[in-house]
Amino acid sequence: MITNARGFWKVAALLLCFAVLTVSDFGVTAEPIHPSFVLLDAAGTDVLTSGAPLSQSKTCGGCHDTDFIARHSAHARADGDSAPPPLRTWENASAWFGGWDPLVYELAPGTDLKAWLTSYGQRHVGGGPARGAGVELDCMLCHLSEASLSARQEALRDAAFEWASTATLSDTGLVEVTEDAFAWNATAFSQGRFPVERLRLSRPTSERCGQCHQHVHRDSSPLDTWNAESARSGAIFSSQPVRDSAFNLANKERLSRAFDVHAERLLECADCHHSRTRAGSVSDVALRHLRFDPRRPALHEVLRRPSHELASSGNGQEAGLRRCTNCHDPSEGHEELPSPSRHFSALACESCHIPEAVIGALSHIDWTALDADGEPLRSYRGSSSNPIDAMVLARGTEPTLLLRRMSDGQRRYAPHNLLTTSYWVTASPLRPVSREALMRVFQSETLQHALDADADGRLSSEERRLTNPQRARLVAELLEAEGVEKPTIVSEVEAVEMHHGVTEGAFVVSDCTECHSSKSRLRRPTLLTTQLPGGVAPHFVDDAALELQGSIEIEGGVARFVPAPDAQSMRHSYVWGADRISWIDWLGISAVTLVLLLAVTHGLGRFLSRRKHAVEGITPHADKSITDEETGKEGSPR
Amino acid sequence: MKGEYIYHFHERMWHWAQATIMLALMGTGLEIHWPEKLSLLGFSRAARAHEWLGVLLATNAVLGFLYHLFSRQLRQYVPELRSFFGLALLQARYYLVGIFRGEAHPVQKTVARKMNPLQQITYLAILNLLLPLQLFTGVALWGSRHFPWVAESLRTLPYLGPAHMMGAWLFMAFTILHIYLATTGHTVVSNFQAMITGYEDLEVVASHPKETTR
Repeated sequence: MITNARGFWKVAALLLCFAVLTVSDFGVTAEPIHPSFVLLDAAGTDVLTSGAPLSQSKTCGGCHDTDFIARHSAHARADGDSAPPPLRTWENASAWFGGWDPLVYELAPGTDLKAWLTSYGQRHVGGGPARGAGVELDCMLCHLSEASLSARQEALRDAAFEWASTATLSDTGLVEVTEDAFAWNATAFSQGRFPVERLRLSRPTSERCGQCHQHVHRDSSPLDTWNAESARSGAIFSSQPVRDSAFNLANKERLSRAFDVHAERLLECADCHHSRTRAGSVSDVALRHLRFDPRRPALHEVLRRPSHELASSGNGQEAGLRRCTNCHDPSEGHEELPSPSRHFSALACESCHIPEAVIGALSHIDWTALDADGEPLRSYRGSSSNPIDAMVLARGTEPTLLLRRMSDGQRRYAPHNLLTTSYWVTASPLRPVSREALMRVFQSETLQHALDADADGRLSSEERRLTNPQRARLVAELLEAEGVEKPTIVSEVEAVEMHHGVTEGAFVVSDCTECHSSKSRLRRPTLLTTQLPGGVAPHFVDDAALELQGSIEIEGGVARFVPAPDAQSMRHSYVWGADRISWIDWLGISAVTLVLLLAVTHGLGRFLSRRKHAVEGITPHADKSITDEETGKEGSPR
Repeated sequence: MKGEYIYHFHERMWHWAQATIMLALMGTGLEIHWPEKLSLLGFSRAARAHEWLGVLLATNAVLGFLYHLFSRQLRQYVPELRSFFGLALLQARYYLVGIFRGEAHPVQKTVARKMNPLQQITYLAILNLLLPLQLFTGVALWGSRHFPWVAESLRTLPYLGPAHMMGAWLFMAFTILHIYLATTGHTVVSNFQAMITGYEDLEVVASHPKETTR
């Protein structure tokens, strides 16, 4: 007990020392798990000595079997081994390597690896097919929070393939990047070693995944942007309540839900999309004779040879994807849902748990006309323009529910965003017209003059659109003059699956009439585009897992997808309250109405005749009945 | 006219239970079919109620059949073939003409014969064709809701629904007709009273004072 001033100051000093020692630890987190290491080049020499590009396979390969990892990585493989057949005739494959992405547009240049790396390869992690150009699997791109994808992409664009892995470290201070050179900065190292106390190596965080996949937002600043993948699917992975974001949304105050409930519950991408052999994980290979597989890889085994094949939904299909039922038991928490087994067999979980893309999604990418920057004209579902523009009021959009074959073999309705892409193709060889040719045509004075309807000297988006057949013909002629053979417009629709942007509670679809009514979500037409270039009717991209029931209808330049289930599909999903055969209803109503009219008429006739008889004093005849005796046998007249 | 005990308790109970259940089925069925136009219970409750009412209807139908079978009342529904067409024509003529002239019913109602030929043929069709159709399609639809494999294996789901709906419309038309024709007794309410109390003042033909009763 402190009884005097001296004692007081002694205690205060002790407390102060304790506080200083404690505070001194602030900003310095716990001892890093990853040991420090030397950055090596391809020859195994310290990069600070050689000044050569970083070789992550050599560097990380000191402890981890990088060769094994590269051979067991769907990201590195670019899905080449398990990809379905290509969807378009000019594609080498439907996977990244050889596939064609309407968001990127650049044609995957056949087997020209280096040309591929400068375009599609910018979203590739290295390794796999990229090894042929000297681009290794870039471990730090995913495992280092400070990694810079943009710097890596720039290196790839500049064909500096061997420096791509080095460029990833541009934001760490370890390497200085000038216009045409990379120089290692020894002062940023920790005694010549990678500064693990400052730069954290860890399992991939969601932000790392969001570099290439849907936009991820994990800090508290108001969310005000998205990326191309989020625009494609309408999903953003963020725990932030929608109403706290910076988007200009209609009825924003009611949107107290998070952008994604799994993000809100602190799940990371890697929690669901995890390695098949992460330490402690249960094998997802089902063994018929086992209820539970007790085998676990040891920690050192996992660290040495961590498979980068991602866990699947359990039946070997669609590697890397997880289904909701891998974690959730649908029989729990759906007490209010009538006929749950029927609903679960007909609907994917997302059908009700992704009721809308809250800020909208891309609806149409029009590559038939380029803007002044060489970009296509983009239209959005739920807003007049890009919803990240604060001047644009976004209303969100409901997904289109389409029947899709799931990983368990069952067909279920699942939410999709229907993305229409229009572009020019040349006949020989059949492929999209190059962007360069399109740029030359749209920058030509002839076209500028012809399309400038208001003669203000510049082309607005509306003036560029080729919805007028004459405009389309003019552009075709100009393309032919550029050497493009028989240019024609193609419009295609891709059904983009929606798996994120999940919600729960009051925001879930819970009103039965959302599906069980004449305005059913399952039968609602979807507007594809109001600006159909060249009047060319779009067609759906051939997706083997999708079972389309309906057709694309065009009226006045507006294209809509109109669901129209046939008997084959209604065998699976006849929806009460939504599906009916009109003529049966008309026949039935007619029959009921007719009977009612007859009854009323007959009754009126009886009433009037009774009154007449009463007035005339006529009594009904009572002796004309045929009795049993008259008939002899019951009911039979003699 | 004298009061004759013509409808036994079980008959009346079966009849009114059937009537109540069918009316409730029609109401809930309409709400399921047109949820945006009709919303009394809500779609979910209407669907559940419809299922339970269907079970009650089936139970009542079975019990009614057993009653009629063991009490030998099934023959009430079987028309006498020899005289059927003649009497049916007479009855039809009565409904179309005679009733407006104040004529007597052409076929006397007795305890042994409670229904005229037109009624007999109508109820034969209702109870042997339409009701089984509704029960069968209803059970199949119930099965497809609770056992999804039924929907896939039956291959008739897109036909079951419309067939059930057609049957429902026909039942609605029948109900209206039935209620109206019940007013064609010797008084407007005599048939209703008989089905409630069991007693009915049967017409006694003057030239044949001795009635055939059972």
